[in-house]
Amino acid sequence: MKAVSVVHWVRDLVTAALIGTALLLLGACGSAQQLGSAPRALQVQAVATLATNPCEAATAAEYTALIVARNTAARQVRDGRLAVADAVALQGFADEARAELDAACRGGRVDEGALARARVHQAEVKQLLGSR
Amino acid sequence: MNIQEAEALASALYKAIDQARAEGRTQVEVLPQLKAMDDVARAELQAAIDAVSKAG
Repeated sequence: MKAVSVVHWVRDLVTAALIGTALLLLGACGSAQQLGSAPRALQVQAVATLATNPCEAATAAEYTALIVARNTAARQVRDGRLAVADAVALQGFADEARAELDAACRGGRVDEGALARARVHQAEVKQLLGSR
Repeated sequence: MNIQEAEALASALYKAIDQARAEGRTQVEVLPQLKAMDDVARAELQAAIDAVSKAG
């Protein structure tokens, strides 16, 4: 192998490594933004890093909010800070949100209607927790 | 997303990564972990409701 070829090969390798690192960093930024209320442009990056399909990126935060809401409600109802009737209602809204989330993500495609309905039920859940 | 939610998502991600490694996969699937965690959270909330209802 000629010296020039080796130099080119090393340069290509370094370039590839730099591009890979940059993509990873961009992906990390995209994931971090996705955790909050991300602008649409950054959600695309989250798809590429957090998820293998659009459904994961679209619904992961919603599932997570559901888990935390149920955990918070369980603590509050045991502490007497949440009435049993409200906890029962919350459980119902959370179940409806879960069903819509499951329906929103079948066959690897996002059902925006189901996702919107899930968010409505999530809002009801948060309203019950927030009213304490 | 608040800190609690971020922690829950991180937990699900680490579990999904561990599972993918254990199964020799390179693709990480986080939704099954999140669904399982929600199932547990649902059961815990129901247990709390039942316990407080019974005590009251």
